[in-house]
Amino acid sequence: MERTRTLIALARLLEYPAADVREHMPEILEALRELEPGGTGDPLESPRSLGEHLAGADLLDVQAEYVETFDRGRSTSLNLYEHLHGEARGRGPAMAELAARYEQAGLHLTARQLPDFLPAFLEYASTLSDSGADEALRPFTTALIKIAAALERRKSPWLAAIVAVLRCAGVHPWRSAAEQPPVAPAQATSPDWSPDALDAAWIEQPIEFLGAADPGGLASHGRGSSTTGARTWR
Amino acid sequence: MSHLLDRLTYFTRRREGFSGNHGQVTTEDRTWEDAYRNRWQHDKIVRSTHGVNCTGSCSWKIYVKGGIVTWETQQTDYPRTRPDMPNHEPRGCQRGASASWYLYSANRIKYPMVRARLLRMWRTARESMGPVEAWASIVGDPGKRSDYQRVRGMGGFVRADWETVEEIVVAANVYTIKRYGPDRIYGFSPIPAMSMVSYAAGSRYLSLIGGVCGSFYDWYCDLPPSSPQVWGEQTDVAESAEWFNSNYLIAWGSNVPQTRTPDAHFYTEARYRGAKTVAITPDYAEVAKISDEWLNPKQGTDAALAMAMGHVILREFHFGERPSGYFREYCRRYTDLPMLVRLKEHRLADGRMVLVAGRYLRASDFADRLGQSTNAEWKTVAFDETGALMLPQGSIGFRWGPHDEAGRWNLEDRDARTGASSALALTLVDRHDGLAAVGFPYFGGVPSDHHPGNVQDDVLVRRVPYRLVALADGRGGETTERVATVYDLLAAHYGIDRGFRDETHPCARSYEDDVPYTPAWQESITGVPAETVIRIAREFAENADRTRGTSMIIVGAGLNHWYHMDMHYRGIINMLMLCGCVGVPGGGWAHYVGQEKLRPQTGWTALAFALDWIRPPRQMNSTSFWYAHTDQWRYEKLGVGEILSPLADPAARADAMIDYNVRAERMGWLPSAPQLQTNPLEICRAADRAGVDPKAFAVNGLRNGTLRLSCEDPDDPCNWPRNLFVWRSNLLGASAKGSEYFIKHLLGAPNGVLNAEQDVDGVRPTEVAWHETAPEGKLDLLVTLDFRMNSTALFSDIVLPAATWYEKNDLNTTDMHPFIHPLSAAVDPPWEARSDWDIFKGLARRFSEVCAGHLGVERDLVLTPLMHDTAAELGQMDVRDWKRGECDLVPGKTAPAFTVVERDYPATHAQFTALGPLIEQIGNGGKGIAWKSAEEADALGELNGRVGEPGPAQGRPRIATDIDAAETILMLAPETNGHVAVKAWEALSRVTGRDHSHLAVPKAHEKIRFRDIQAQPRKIITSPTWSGIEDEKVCYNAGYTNVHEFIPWRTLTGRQQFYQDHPWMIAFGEGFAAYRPPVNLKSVAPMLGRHGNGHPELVLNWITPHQKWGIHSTYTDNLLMLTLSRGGPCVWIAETDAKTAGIVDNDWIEVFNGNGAIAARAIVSQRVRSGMAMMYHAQERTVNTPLSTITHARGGIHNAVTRVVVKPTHMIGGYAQLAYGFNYYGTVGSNRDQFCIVRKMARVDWQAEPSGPSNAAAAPGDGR
Repeated sequence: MERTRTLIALARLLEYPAADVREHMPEILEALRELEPGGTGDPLESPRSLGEHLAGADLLDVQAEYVETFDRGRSTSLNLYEHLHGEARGRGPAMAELAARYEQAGLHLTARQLPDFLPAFLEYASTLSDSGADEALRPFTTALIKIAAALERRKSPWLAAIVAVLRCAGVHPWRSAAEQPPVAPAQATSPDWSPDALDAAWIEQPIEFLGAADPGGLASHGRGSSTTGARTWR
Repeated sequence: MSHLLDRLTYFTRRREGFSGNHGQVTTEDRTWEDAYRNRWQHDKIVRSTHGVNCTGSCSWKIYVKGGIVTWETQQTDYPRTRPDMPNHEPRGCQRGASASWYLYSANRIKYPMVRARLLRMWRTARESMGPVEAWASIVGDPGKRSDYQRVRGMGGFVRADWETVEEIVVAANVYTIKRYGPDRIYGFSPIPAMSMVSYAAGSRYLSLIGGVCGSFYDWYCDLPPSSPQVWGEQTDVAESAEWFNSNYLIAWGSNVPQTRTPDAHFYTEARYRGAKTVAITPDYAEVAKISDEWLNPKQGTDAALAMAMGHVILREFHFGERPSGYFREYCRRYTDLPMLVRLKEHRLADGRMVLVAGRYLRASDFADRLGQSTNAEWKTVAFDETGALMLPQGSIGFRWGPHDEAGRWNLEDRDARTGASSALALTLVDRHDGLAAVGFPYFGGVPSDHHPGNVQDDVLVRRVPYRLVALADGRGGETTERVATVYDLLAAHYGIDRGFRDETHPCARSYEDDVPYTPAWQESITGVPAETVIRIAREFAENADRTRGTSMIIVGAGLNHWYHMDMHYRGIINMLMLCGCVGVPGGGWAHYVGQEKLRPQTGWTALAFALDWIRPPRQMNSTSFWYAHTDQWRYEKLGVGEILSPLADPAARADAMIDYNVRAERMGWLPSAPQLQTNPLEICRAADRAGVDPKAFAVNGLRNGTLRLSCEDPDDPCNWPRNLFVWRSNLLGASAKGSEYFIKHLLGAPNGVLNAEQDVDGVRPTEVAWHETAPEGKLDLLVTLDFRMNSTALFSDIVLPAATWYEKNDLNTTDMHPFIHPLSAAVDPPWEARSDWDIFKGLARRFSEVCAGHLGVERDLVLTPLMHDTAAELGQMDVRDWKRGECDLVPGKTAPAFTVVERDYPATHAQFTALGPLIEQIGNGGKGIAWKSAEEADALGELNGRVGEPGPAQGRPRIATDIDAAETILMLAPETNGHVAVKAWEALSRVTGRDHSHLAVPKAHEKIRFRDIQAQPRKIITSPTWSGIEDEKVCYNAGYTNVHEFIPWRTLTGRQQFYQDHPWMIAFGEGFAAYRPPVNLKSVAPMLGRHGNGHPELVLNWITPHQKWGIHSTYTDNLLMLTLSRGGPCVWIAETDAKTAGIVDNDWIEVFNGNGAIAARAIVSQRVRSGMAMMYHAQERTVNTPLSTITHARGGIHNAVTRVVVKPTHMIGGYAQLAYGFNYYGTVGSNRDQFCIVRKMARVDWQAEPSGPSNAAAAPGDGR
């Protein structure tokens, strides 16, 4: 089961880099050989580069880098529902449902982690059939793309691992799959500090509570398109 | 449309109607409903609340499904209180409703974190050394030490396991104790009432090892010093339900709907009973919207308004044509107005002789000491209505007398010498021996850049009726002196014309006279029309007269955060006392700032400060501590001369502010931390070697100069605080006034201090050693326990992941309602998080192991100030400094008390987890009331089990878990154990001579346990720790037992005091309440135009009120709350001000002065008064905060432009109610007098790029 090993290997790459993972790095990279982007690909998307970085750099430096990348802030959080539910109340029930799914599969989450922690989810997916894994990963591709975009903005080496997960989920190339292409790395080039651009970025929007008031987007999509005389909502 | 195609022709659907066919029964498929059913399914509901620094104490239902908290809703099962009273519930606000977000948020601290640079050195050192040696090798090497210090606040954390972080922390503690002394370990955690077990965890650990617990209430400036001054009690206030019983409610500088959200309904509901509500706020605050009337005095001038209202009340209801009989009777019995004050001669600068109010007349002033063999100095004197001299019962001398004299500390109308009943005379006007020309200081014309004031002579001379009394002249003979009542002096001070024909400064003949303190006089200061002041004051007093005192004033931070907050408050308290409102249901002073009321206090103090094992604990007033150790004193720009009374000795101007603090510490008034420059363990060893008692050894050392108090040289490395624990607090993101000075001097990290060090008019401190270069980076180790990555955690060396409020068991109480409430572990802490109790228990265990070979059973010399509510408060009648040779050094009398305690360091863990024997041997108690608690210790042993392991704790009741700790508190406290309440009331009855036990006897068998309050919040039992009662008929209100049980207030006179007679109070002009304009902190002038960017600069008063979208800094990183507000740091300014500076709404602006700079967005609003800028505290620098273009640092926080300034009158000690107590009295961190420059930013720099690939190794971020 190559798929199993691939997903577990990706889980290992996305965890806090511990000394023992470094020892197993050749094995991990071997399992990910097929996911290499190839000669002309972006080296930031190469699992090998990531693996070599993790194994080669000073351990404390790499760990500090991981903490800076994943232990702070939400844009790169490896907890998937951070990207799907955010602060909305649906998050707790969604996590409870995910935990129930693991139980149904005969898996008991013993590590002190939340069910939506990506490496844990990858392990779960690794226990499924190839098609089952695809299906399991599919609902999370949006979240994964958001993480990938955030990592790309930071030029983070972990981008490679997320891109690899997306490939496993059949999303390739990931940028074109993104509904909205990731914002160009604004900080790297020259940011637009013109008053108009700032105003546009900060313009007051009606409060939508992250879409909770209109979860299906009915208000925006349904409006004005009715030809049946049905009442439009607003 | 005909609906032809919508109809069936051959069928009708079967329908069954109900409710008159308004409803129909159908048989459609209903499985879609399961989606909703599943959504709201849960495994269990657990009761908890939010242990954040707020007074809510709201009951919440926490829903758990599959081991995950899914949401929370308000719980609605509070016990009903009284008929005709609105329900308490639902309690809870938008902030609490979003708390579950924190559990799983990306901002949560999931693992123990260490600064990578420190961990690298630690691991290297540990390869060859033991933990303590390893720590010594790092902090002993200046290069290594600064290597991790200078990247504080700049990231570079790595995860670590508990084993490692515990070892580093305790190694640092052991090393510090051994090398410098245990009092170099400091702990800061606020407001225990919100989660008292969690607080107690850290303070118990610190107290056992000899570390210092820092106060918080005074540091936040939420502590009103006026409360001890007037009542001898700190913040005892009515529950919010009592607002409903009031008939006239003023919310003054307190934004009730915004900061007391779950209670605000009582404020509006009172109006349905017919009460009138008045809001007094400088801006159009939320409370203004829900009140009947709004007054908007200029910010910081409230005392002028209060004095003018007091003028109207005195004029009309005391000295008018129909004075209120109720008011006079109340004032006679419950206030110091009848007490006599000695008048002293004083030569004014222009050569005129006047009299000034001096000390209260005491029994000791008479040749026969009025027959008092004990404490005659502490017994005040009055005349009765027949004109005979009287020694009223209840003054503080009767409280601490010998046992055979006990029973006369009460407010019965009796002469203590004869027991004869007689009414005291308020005024001497009918039988005076003459009219004295008495001078009163006037501050309304003190020059100030931003407060023009109302300039008049600085001494107002007015006539006061006096009588002559024969007093001892101190040489065995007699002398005749003039005395006046406080009442007559007060009336003259308020400018009430009583027909005495004043010459130099006539009293007001009408309200239109521009004479202090008339309504017309205040108008030029506050801007409030005189007519309004007259009307409101009249309504307020008339209501109180007709309803016997049901007028109430709710006050808050808007008044108390000013340098002269005492004047605002005392001006208001005077109104309440003059109208007989204090201690009366529906009336009184209601100060709500901070969740101050820890109801089961005496049960908690035993646990929290380890009083069951070692007494006394080390406690410190944090304001003075931070002032000294963050070196803010070196930047002091307020001269003593600027705040001295015009009647004071001008020689006092030669001192700096910190000199007063040092003197206060030396005389035993304020505590010290550290205490002595020499390690106190070493002092005990040296004394042993010399064969003398350590106390005598230390006294000799201080006398001959071989020992030194640490406060005399705070910059000497021996006196630096070395280890700092911060838990349940965001010190560096919220309360750190002068936050940039903290970062510079305490942490040694890149900071935004712009000020040059500067002495005031060439005044260098005389009591403190001046080092040419101020130290930077005093702290070896900063450890923070938290569940969110806030500003403090960012600056820490070690961050420990704490449990949230839904993951631990704890207790929570508030002054807003009488129920005791739990925090419950709905789920286990996820990741590596642990409860505060478990974290400190773990540290105690590791400490006990690591200290082996370094610390054994040690003796430690502890210095304690002269504490309030102990006999030591009868300390010093006069101000005498032993160091200056003005008296002998007598520990516990003219200096701090010295106690030698024994610390069994290897037994720290055993002691931490068991109830110690002192509970039986010495007993328990608080506020001067003591009782034995052997039965309770026994019962706790039965309940919690006993320690089986051999060792010092064998057989003792176990306190292993957080629930054990909660049960300990509940068992020992009178508020939660009826038998203890009865014992406590009996103990008090012996001192007052009146039987009070009836207040608790009916509840003697009631015992509240932790599981009880998890089932339902429980109402506490009436206890003498508090001055209100828990009853089926009346709400809790402060002063109730003073008024109804005749228990004296714990003041010098035993009564509520209009007058303060301590020499320092008089020297600083605060014998009586007066209007004092905000002080000039001089932070703006040197910066004006220095950092110009082409945009105009505004100078605005810096106001930092409590906010709506967070509780202090908590919730300000929560996207829900950020969505409801502007979503990042923002500053409110007035429309007119914005226009002059070319600022439009949402512009990026910079706010700066000598103390630092802030980058934020402008909110331009008509709501804000011109001349002020408002930044709600505390908005995290971690959210949407760009770099300041001036400091090139991120931020900063709202306190980046403040600097703490201490006030000498708050340092007074050893003087009845003016004596130190933890969070009772002491210096406070005022911050509202500050001004700053506001201008538009020309460019916004987010510095989104990290300062380097990692701060683990050398990084570009190094250096400045």
